[in-house]
Amino acid sequence: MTANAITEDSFEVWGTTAVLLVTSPLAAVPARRLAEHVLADVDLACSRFRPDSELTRLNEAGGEPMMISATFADLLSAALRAARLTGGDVDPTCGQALAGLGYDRDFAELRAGGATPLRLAGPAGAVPGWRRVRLDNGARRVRLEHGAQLDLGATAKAWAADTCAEQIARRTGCGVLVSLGGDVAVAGTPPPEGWQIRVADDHAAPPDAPGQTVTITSGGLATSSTTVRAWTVAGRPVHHIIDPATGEPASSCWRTVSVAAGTCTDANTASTAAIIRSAAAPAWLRDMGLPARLVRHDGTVETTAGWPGDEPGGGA
Amino acid sequence: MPVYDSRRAAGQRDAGLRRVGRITWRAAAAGLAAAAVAALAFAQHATAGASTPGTSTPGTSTPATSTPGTSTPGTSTPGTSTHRSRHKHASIVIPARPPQPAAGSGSGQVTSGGS
Repeated sequence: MTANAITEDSFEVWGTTAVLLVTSPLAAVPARRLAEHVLADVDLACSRFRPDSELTRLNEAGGEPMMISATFADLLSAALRAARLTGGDVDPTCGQALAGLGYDRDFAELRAGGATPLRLAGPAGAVPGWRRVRLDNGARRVRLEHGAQLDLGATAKAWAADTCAEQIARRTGCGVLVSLGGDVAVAGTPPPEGWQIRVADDHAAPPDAPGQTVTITSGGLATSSTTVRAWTVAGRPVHHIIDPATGEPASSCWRTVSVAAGTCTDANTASTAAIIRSAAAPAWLRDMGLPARLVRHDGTVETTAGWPGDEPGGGA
Repeated sequence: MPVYDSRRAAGQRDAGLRRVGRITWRAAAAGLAAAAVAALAFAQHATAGASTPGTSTPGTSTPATSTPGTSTPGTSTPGTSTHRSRHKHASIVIPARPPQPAAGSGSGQVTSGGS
């Protein structure tokens, strides 16, 4: 099978672009149907901007326990696992910190200037912390302590990409790549040349934008960047990657970090943590054997654990 | 007047001791078996807890509030249960193979970047 046999489909979701690539044209329609089903399920579970989502109801429950769906339980488990594996650097209780920066509505609306920041100045303080999330997965019951407010943005999109890819591969039997705003998961038998992925600051960048093209054959690849989901609050530039220790946007020496891992969720967990860990990130990634590409604000690149070097003239 | 048969009495005493010994050994064996079963069950429980790291850490698990009667383990969908199996790992999973340099910019390319 050649690369030309790959069938592509794309559509808008969650204010970003979803791309489905399948190795059989016959799989395109069922793949789209499966993906839309998973994405609708995830949206109803954990959208911060839907009043009827489980996450919104939990955030408004005032610390009372709540029964939740299997999907929301899985999403919460993934978020808590990310927190645990990163020593709390990727923390799901940053909902209030983001809302305090005005990110309490869809990002397109926020960027258009519709934000009404609740907090304009002064330090936010540490977020409540992931241990305030009391999840009983067996009973599918959850409770938030000490006013914790959830945002699953660091893991939910990647989890959705993993789940879409897994289900499409299993149901159609073909190779599949799912990209949700640049969070990429692949499953099934890949094309012979592998899945080609351009890594760049912005997932919507044109193919010739500065970056690097690599191939993967399994797992996931995710990129976290402080340059795209960024806005201003009272003239101060801010972005969406919150440092749990301060409750403020992470002050990092990296503008963009791409990581390949066994799943897209793990890749995104590591790339987000790398932004927050700043100068300590390369050693942390190397210790785990995670291939990564880290781009400094001046465009210079550092790679870890077998990530290939940039092609000449590729730029950052 | 009955004659005290010391030989027969000693025989009965020895038989009784043997019987008590057998019962003691059987009780000990049963206790050992029960302990082994309990240890096995505990080990399986511990393994299951480790397979869902998000809920197994001391800070997040809530065994005291668990209500077995409301537990619905059979309702998870195939997709979500498969996802759970992906997250059995206690650490971030490295890829089977690191990314490779691309030969060219062929069709079917996507971009991974901030969003």
